Amino acid sequence: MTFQPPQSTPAPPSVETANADTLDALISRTDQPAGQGERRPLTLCPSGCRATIHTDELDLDARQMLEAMGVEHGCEVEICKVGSPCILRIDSTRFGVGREVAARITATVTATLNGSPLPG
Amino acid sequence: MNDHAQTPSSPPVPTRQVALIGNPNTGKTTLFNRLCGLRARTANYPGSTAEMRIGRCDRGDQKLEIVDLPGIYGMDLDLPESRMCRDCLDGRLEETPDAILVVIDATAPARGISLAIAAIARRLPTVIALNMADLAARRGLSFDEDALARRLGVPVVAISGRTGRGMDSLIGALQTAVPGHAVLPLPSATNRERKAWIDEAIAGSMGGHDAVGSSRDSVYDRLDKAFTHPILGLVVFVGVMGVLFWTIFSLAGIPMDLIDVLFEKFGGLAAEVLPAGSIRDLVVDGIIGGIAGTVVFLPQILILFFLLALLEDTGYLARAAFVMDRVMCRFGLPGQAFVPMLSSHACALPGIMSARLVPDRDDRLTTILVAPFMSCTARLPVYVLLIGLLFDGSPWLAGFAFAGCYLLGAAAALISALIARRTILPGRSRPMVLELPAYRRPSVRNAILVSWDRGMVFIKNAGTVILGIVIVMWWLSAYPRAETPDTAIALRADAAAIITTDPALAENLEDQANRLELNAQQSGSFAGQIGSFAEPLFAPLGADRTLTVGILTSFLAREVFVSSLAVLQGGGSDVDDDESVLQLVRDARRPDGSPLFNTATAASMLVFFVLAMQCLPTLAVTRRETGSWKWPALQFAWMTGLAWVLSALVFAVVTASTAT
Repeated sequence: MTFQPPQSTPAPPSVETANADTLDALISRTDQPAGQGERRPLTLCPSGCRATIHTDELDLDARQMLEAMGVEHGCEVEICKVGSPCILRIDSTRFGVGREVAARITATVTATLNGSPLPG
Repeated sequence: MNDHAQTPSSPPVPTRQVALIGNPNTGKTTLFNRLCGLRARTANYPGSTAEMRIGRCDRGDQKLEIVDLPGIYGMDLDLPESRMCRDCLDGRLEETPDAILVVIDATAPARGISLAIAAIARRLPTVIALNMADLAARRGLSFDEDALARRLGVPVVAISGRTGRGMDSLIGALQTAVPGHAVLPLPSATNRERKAWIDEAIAGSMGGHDAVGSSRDSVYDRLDKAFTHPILGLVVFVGVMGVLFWTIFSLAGIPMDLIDVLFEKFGGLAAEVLPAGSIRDLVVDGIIGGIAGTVVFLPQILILFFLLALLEDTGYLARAAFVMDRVMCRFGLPGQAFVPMLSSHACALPGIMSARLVPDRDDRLTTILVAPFMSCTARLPVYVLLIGLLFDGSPWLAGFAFAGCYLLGAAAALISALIARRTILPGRSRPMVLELPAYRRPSVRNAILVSWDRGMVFIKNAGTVILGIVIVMWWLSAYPRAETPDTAIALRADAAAIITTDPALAENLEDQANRLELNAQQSGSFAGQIGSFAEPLFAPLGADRTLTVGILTSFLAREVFVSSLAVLQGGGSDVDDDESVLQLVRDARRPDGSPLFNTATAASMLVFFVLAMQCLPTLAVTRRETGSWKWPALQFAWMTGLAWVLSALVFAVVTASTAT
């Protein structure tokens, strides 16, 4: 298999239905929407946003399991779907998180789809 | 554990034992099936009920024994599967394996590398298999295996378990592997330090990361949203399960009938060859009948596991688990428990065996305990008979009663699960967090191997117990031999006298004589005697001696109840003609002249048959799946106890209401 060296400036991963080419146009990291930077329950984050998640309010079992799965405290995820379950994506791996666990995870939104303001 | 096989003609070739580990959904089982094919067996981990598959992979001089360990997310987690992996790799189960094969999903390697680091740290010869390399290539990912190997200090081989790509290189690497020598993050390293190390390793050995995502992910997003939607997801789930069970029902019937015919012919042949007597009866009715009674379950088991393996391979089941979790969690069960519960509507045996889809031990035990409450097909003839007695001429009411039986069974299962989780299996369920595997085309080869494995496990373990039970039950109903009643002898004499002049009437008389003989045998047998002895126990349910014998014989299998009643009332044992059996039972009288079934008795018997554990093969499979007789004993006591209490209640209430 031919090895292609990694690009020096990787593009951000896709969000919702956007493909990689249109992401830069869709995701605004510079125009911070109101409420961005605050910790809020994962279940109150908008679908399609990117967020840093905080698992420190979970019990040890759930936290360790999430960590082993690669969903670590402080890692950035894409929130593909909010509800029951919440669907998170890290790289190309998707995780379903049941309502009970999702309710105890908080997140800091770092980028919303198209820079739209956060609800609430 | 290590097997150093020798043959007289060749020098001894050491067989290397390889522990196969990896995250769930990395294609570990597919790789195991690719390497070992049918040369695999399922065994229990020493001292536990969990299963492991052990297979042989021989290529020329290269001989490997591969132990497929359960999929884990981390070696240090406080979960049974993680403990099992630790124990195996540290030699606490048996001997330490000679090498470790770590399977990593090439499309998402970070987590796999984290597990690989933990494996390499054990200082055993280790090989990394980058599985699904073909899928990764299609997504635009590329690897420098040598660079990753240098970084990890162990061989890295790009493979595809599905297509077989890279198998020779992998086997070669396993034969020559030595303990790793690279500088890896220490166990004491923080998550952040370990992640930084892994990111650096990936950046230095993988390319095209940015190609991942794009249009494929938007399709996945839409599918995920549809499949996990509260309403649409439920509709899809009902549709998928409907197709699954329709396929099982329509396909399994053919081989099941074939098995019946084949063993009937085989039994007939044995009866012709062997001289009349106890040995012939044992061989024909006990052994051949017993084997037929065991093998007949096989088609349902094979088809169910074949279809479940295909479904699991597509990635859909993980989504479906979330849909059902909303309902099931209220009763202390996880979403995955729905498949075993639903499967039990066909037959509790494959239902209980499919409970292995439930990852948590306590959740799995609860599921196994309550799954037989679901109304299986064996209950249908009994429902038909008793509902026919209760609501003759009222098809709507009969329909509602049928639905009510199914609902009563399901409600009993869910409430029992809730009680079990709060009493004997307390504690919280495992957090509902699942990796959602990528959608992909299922592998038919893999599904065949999985269903074959489950079929063999059933035959070897549960099958032998079921065979033993069937033989014992046959013996109880066949002995002691009863004298042929005088009336039967007289009927046969009459038949012999008119055989030439009126063969039809002669045949009819012969049939009557046979029925009388069967009736006498059933009443005089040990089973019949036990029935007489147990009569007071079932009297509160409205059962007399005849019904008690019918109930007791139905513990072999529920459908036997109908044929037992037919036989005991002087009818044939052929239950195909529902109407004639119904008429026979409706007209049946007790010694005091009252009907065998009044409304109260029929209602109480119906409740009893919905709830009672009357399937010894199910108990044998529960024993097999739980590894202890404690659980089938509990299952039997709870289900039958509950059935008795509710039936007695129904009998009392209906008797009181019909008397006023």
